[in-house]
Amino acid sequence: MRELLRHIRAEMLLVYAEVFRRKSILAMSILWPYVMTAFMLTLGYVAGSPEVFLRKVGTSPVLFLATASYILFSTLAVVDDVMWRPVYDENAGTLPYVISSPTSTVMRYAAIPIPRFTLSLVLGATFLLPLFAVQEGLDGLLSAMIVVAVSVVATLTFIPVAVAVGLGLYSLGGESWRAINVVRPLFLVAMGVYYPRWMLSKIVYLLTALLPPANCVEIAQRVVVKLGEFNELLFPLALAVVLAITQLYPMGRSARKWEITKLREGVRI
Amino acid sequence: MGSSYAIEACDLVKRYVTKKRIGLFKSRTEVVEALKGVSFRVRYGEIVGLLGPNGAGKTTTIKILSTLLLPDSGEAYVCGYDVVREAQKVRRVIGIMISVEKGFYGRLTGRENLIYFGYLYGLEGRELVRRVNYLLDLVGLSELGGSDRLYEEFSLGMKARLALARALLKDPPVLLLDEPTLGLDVPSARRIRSLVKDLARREGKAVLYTSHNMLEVEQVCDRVILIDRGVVVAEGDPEELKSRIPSIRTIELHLSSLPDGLVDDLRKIGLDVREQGQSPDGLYVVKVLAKRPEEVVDDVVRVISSRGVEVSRLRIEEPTLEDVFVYFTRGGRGS
Repeated sequence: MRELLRHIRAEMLLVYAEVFRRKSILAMSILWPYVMTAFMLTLGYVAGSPEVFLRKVGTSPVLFLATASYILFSTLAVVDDVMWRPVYDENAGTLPYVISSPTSTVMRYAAIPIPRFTLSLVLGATFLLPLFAVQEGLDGLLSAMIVVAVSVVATLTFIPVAVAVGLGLYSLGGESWRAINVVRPLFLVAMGVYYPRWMLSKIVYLLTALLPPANCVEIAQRVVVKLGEFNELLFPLALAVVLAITQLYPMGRSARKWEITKLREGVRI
Repeated sequence: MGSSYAIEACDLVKRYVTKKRIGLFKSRTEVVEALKGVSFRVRYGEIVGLLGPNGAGKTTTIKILSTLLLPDSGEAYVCGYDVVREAQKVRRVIGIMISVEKGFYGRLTGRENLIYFGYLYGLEGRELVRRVNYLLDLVGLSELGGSDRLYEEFSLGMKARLALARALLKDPPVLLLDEPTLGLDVPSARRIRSLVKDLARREGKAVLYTSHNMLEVEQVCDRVILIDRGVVVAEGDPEELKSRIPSIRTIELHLSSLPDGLVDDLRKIGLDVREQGQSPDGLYVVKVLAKRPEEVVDDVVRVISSRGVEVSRLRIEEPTLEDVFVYFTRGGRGS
């Protein structure tokens, strides 16, 4: 645990320096969910109408798509962070020093996404909370806070599978930006952020439910639509946590396999 | 193997297998033998230079000892720990410095970079801050203003100093330095050299040091291991290695005048003499080539003095480590 905390502190130092010293990154982080929501709404209004959306889904497209964009931004950052870091470390020449440090690769990769998710809390305050407050008043504010809390769980439960898939792929085919570009949209589709998960076919629903954050997405969507009782929301939450725990084993294996692959080939200097 | 040596490499073998694509579907496998049984030992407090031409296997050796590469066969121990089976323990006792020009995060300052790696190396809290401040002072980065400047704004000299500071973060007993002064300006290179010497002498650290700068190796290293095409071709202290090469040495004489017949007189006593013209200060330069110049120098001076010529300067040119390097690494063995 102490080692994990050390890694989190190190990653906080790195990510915060990156974000706060490059104001454009900070500005884009805040603006991105707005841009994404506007894009999806425009697309929706061109193809259909808000009334149809309201009738089919049960809530206004603005809040639904805003929630979707927020969760997408905060959770998919986990995949980006985990898969981007080996590529970045190799380019920066830091990889030999990281690998030759007396530390656990699994712990490091578990810590890497944490700072970005703390930034997504800020994003909740700058994006989701004001939007819900304007649309639904105090009730909306409460819903937004639940969505932010659920997105924290989504992010944390996403880490094991992201590390398992990311480093697993790298140990098979080497580090590459192309792998990130393939994996990210696949996770996006599997999480189901842009469509109500309960409308999926049973098979697809069950398959995608194996991805822990998908269950958190469903909770967030149900909160926005006000579908189901509070107790009913606890099951997908528990499922997400249990799945994440079971995925810790493949996460560890992938991390070790990746490290051994690097050591066999020789860490590039 | 015991742990009386800081570093022990025993018959290390490493082959790199690469696939080269031929056409759209075919590929050819190529095997490069980087190490073909490298063995050596390094004691605590000793600075050992690992020399060899490009592609000789120096960096491969350093990588294996740094736990960055698995050997195909053979064994290596650092402070008694096996680099393959006890890699985590090895990582606690080594400090590495490879590739001076990169290896840090550009958007962090010098201090932040050291703190980042300090966390990775298991340091934290006040101990980490104290160590980082001490090292920034030790390598001279504080005085250069590098502590709180972004790494991406660093000069090469500052980058090298920071890299040495990181290697010392854990205060390790073994340092593995791969070309630590490559491309540095004179003050930075001198600082690095003097620090490395101090660390070995005062703190008893074992240092494995690779460089292409022979003069530097001669100044810094107690012992030299010459490696070529994956095998150790010679090992010993620089003086010992120089004595092992069968070279013709030169006595260089600067004379006040060069009367007719003087060169012939010297040749008559069996010497190989070359006239070199006049030096910028108007003296006549003559070179005498001999296998053992110490044995003939008295005769040379006697013959010259007998002709009433004054010897203004006399210098016996010694073979350099560069001669040793060229001799052992270019097929000069046994010739």
